[in-house]
Amino acid sequence: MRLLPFLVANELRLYRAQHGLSLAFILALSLLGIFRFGIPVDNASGALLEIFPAVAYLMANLQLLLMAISWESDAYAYRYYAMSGVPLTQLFFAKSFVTFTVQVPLWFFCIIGFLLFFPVEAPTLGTATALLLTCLPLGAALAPAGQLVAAIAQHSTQKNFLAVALFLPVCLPVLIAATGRVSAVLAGLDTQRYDALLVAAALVFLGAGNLLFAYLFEE
Amino acid sequence: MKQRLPEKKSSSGERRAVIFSQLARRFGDFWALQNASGEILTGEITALTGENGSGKSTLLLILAGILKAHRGTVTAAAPGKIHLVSHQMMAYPDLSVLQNMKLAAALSASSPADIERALTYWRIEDLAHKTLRTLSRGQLQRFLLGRALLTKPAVLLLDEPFTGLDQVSEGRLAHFMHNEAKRGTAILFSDHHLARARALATRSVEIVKGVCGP
Repeated sequence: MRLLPFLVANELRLYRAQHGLSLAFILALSLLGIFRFGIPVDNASGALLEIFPAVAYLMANLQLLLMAISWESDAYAYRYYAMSGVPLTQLFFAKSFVTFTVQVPLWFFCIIGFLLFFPVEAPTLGTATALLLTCLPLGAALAPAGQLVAAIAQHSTQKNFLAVALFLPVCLPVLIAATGRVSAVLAGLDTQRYDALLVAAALVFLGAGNLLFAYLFEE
Repeated sequence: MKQRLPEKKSSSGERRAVIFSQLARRFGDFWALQNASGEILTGEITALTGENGSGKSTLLLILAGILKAHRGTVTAAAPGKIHLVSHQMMAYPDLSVLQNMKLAAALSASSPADIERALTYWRIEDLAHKTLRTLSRGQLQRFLLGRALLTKPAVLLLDEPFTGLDQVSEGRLAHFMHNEAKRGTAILFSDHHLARARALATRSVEIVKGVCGP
């Protein structure tokens, strides 16, 4: 595990070197704007309304995922790890950790945009905190899922298309749980069942990544 | 088929660094490598020759542990210490020369002084903060060779390493290969320039339509 800090630092450098993260924010903002002003949501209520921040967040994540695929595969960077005998599970955990970290501000951005733009009551501090904390189980589920999808799509000639085609259905339960959690928090209901679903998804994706990541990268 | 070049004694004996036997690899229905066997010896420079598409790059990728062979075995004395300089940069184009070097140093437990030395040797200190995407072909090749110097491999595989280099850098590469061999590195390099390969190598292996070996 000695290499893990170096791999994490390198992933952070890659995010900094690209403009992908700012693009993800712009994409999330654009989607929230389109949902708010392009769709008649004034009379909408319940989950219909609360799906919007989750969808904007998911699409922004997809953009990050496509960027991450290109930086590994454009110049066969991942081959250097294979050649150097780096255990690819370490790379999986480093990538998942960094993706998880960069997703936190993205979720905050989507929730704040949602509360500002959409016709919802101003939340109490407790409700706002609970909404923001959704990023923890949500990011823990989506980050390893994204890495798995990236690893599957990596060797395909249609990698971007494959990544989109895999990511959306794989993450559908996560999207439903996130939307459900936001609804429950706004309605002042218990969020335990949604948390349990998100944590279960996180464990499944982390376990699958730990087992499969190296195998999926093998050529 | 194996071919011996004019006598040039290896400086550090004949210890086997890598032995490969009956390697085969296909891409779809096409067998790029059909039956490749041989060995790479410590302190020896071996030339890998053959026509375009004969399977040289595939063999080097398999020996580096990047591609898996569909048949055959590779046995290495120091499996984690094999380094390939290939046509693909195997690096991050949007990171700088120095950032890529730092990653390589972390993976090979090399020191910042080793990075300095590699940058200076390959005359790329001035490029340290430029991203790989902005380098010319020759500059990129010097970065790749610098990274190879940094990692101090036990086995150095070079896939047409002279590509894109100017005359000064070509001379430096020949010097580098001899120095590495003296240090005990086993070197296998592919080159289309047969006269240059003969001048540099202790031994030569020819690969024909994916087949080489005794």
